[in-house]
Amino acid sequence: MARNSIFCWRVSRFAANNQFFEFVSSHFTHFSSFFRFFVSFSHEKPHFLPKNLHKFQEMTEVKTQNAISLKGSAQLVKEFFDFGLSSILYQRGLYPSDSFKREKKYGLALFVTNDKKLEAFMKPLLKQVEYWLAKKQLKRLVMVISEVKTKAVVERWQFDIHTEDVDEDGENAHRTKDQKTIQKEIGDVLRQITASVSFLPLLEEPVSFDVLIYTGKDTQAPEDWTESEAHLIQDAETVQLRSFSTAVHGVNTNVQYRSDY
Amino acid sequence: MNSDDDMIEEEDSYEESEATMIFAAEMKKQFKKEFPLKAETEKRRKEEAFRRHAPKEARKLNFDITLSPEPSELIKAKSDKENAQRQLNSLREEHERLKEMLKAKEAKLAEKSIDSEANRERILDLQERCELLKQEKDETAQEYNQSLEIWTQFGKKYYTWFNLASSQLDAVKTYVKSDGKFDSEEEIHRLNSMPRNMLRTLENFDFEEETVEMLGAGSVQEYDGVEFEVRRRAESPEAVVEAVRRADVSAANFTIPHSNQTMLDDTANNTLMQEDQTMMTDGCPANRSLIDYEKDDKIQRLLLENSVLKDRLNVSMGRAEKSMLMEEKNRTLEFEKKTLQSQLDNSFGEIEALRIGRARDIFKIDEKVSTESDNSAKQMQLLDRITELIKKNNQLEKDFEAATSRMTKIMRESTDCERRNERLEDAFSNERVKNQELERERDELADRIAEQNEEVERLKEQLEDVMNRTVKVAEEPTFSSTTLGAPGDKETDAGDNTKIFHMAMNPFQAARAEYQESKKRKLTDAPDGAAQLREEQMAELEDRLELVTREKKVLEDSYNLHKDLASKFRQACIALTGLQIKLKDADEGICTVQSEYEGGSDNHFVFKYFYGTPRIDMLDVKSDASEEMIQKWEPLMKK
Repeated sequence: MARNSIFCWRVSRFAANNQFFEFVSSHFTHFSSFFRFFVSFSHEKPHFLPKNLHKFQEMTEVKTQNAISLKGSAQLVKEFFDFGLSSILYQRGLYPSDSFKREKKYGLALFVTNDKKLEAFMKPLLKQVEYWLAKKQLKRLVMVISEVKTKAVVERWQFDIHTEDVDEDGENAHRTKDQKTIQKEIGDVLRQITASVSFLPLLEEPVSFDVLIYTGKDTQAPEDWTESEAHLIQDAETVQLRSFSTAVHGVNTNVQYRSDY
Repeated sequence: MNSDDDMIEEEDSYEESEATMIFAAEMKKQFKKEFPLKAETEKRRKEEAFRRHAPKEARKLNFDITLSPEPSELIKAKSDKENAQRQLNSLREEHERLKEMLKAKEAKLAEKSIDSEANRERILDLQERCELLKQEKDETAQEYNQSLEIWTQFGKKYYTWFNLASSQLDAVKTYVKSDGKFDSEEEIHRLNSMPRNMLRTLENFDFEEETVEMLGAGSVQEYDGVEFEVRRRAESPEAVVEAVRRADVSAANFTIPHSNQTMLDDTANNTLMQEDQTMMTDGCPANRSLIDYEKDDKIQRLLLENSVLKDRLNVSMGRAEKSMLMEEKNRTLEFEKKTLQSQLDNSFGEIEALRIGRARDIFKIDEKVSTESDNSAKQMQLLDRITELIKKNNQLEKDFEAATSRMTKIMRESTDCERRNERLEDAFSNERVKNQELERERDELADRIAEQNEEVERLKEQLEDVMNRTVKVAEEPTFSSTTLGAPGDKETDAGDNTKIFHMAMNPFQAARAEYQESKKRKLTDAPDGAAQLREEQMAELEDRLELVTREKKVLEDSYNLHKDLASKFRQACIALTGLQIKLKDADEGICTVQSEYEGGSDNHFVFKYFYGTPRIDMLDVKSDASEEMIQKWEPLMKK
């Protein structure tokens, strides 16, 4: 207890200097995360915090919440893909419903896969996607749903990615957009994905999926990645869904499906 | 005699056969024909000339043609006659052969008639045996009936005797109970009534004494120490009446035996054993046991005899059945014999008819010529007839040969045809199967072609687009590369500056592999030839499709490379020469040449290059500035 109190005191003393702001802003994106970190050490109520710390909180939150870097954006987009692809798989019935767990995100109750095999596929994929997003090499991500028997492509969920001219670091490393707005936009897109079941044709034949990544010409793929064809659908019906933007990456979603299916 | 003489003698004794002679003559004739002597040919020519002109000459000279040496017609007639003679001989031989055949058939008929006679005798024998068996059967039946009758009578007798014995035993019992007192007359009467009745009953039977003796003695005398004396009954009825009367008297005079005389007293003067004793004496226990024994023995004997007789009867019944069967057989044999006889008669009739017909044919001439008295004429007619017959025969033989040859030919042809037909049918079935397979393949190929055509069309479109874009790029070298690889370009989906990646092991691949495995498993579990073939074909097609897509990708890559190279080459050329050359019409070889240093102006030359030759024609000069330039270059233009 005494030790924690000393730590709090030291922090309050530290916070009094300008060095504190620099330290916090460089290590924590949001002040709230720093706050949680601080509280986890203190085990005390927030009113034990020094008075000027509250003031600091009010000041910095405005500044940090709106700024978004390339990496942060890549993380956000990767998160969107995680939830989005899982939602598609759940909604289109590619995997049994009991292999999904419910999770609250973007103000929605979303379903995330619980299947070990699928997780084993998705984790490295999303990791690589995040990497390519951060490197501004990802142009498009396509989820192709094909019939297992005939290899015929049934659906094609296309996520076109537009990356702003942002540097990885330096002055041109940040863009400003309200996180709530981003989350709302993402939530809207996911809601549309959920609602798309109403107009998409019923998948009667056994189907499976693949994820295609469109990158720049000079992109080098890891070992377990290979080049693929586009898996286009002839005379496909296309439905444009909402798009969202993190101010760094803009994601435009559409779904193509076979009109004769 | 020396050896030469022997030889001569042997030669003299050797006589050529008729066939040899004919053959020698024929050969000689042919030899002469083939290799005529000069003198002979001249002679023949002369003769021919003579014959041709003879009638005229004869008329002229009044010359008799018959005086000429032996004419050829006569020689021919002679040879014909010889032939006819030979044919007559052969016909005679045939006639002889037919006669022999007739004789053989007659012999056969005789044999058959002998057989039938033997059969008839056998039938008669069998009939006699049957009669004998019948008689035997009747006799045995009679014996059986007789023995049965005897047995029934003896049974009755035994019954009577048994009743008598039992009544006597009862009487003895009462006598013993009453301590040897026999006072009541009624009782005495009752005691005696039974034997009396028995006697009377026995009197009613009318057996032959000998039979009775035989049966009685036969059954008892076999035992040692037993003698059966036959006691004959009174033969006359008077004697019988007397006996009855005596019995009555004896009954009336019945006296009670002495008390000290026991029933088992075996003394010599025992009254119980005396013949003329009362009936009571016969019913004593000692005597009765002996009688019973005898009776039982007799019964057994009789039973045995009865069974033996029954057996005999059965045997005789079997024999009778056999005889019946034999009779039936006999009847069938007779019927067969009759039919054979009728057949034989028919064959005889036929043979006779044939013989008559043949004789008529042969002696037809005789009938015809019977009116004529001349033997030579008859002979001539006979010869004519024979020759005619021979001709006919020859003609018929020829026809027959021709027909047989034709038939064999046709048969051979038909077999060939059948074989060919079979081969054709096989080939046809094979062809049909092949046709079906080919049709299937054709359909599949048509589908594939349609798919490929679509693919080709798509590729063409893509190629056209690419070409257009290439042209654009060539025309506008300053065009920004970012616009080409725009993400919104849906036609190419992935532009030149884009690569499509996917994870090698993705869920679709895994599902596909699983599906293939399950398919294979299904195939191995339930092997169905057609389905397997289809699956294999599908797999093959899929493989081909994959190959095609790979090739297509390679083509696209090479095309892109080529395009890049071309654009680079163009840029280098422009940089080096300062002239921009555009191929306006590749087929015609029309090019435009524009100076790179006249930026912004539209001045250019139009050339036509003739492929494969060093010839280049300037067609036009376009200049927006002055007419001078056109005038300057006009003499060099070719229109």
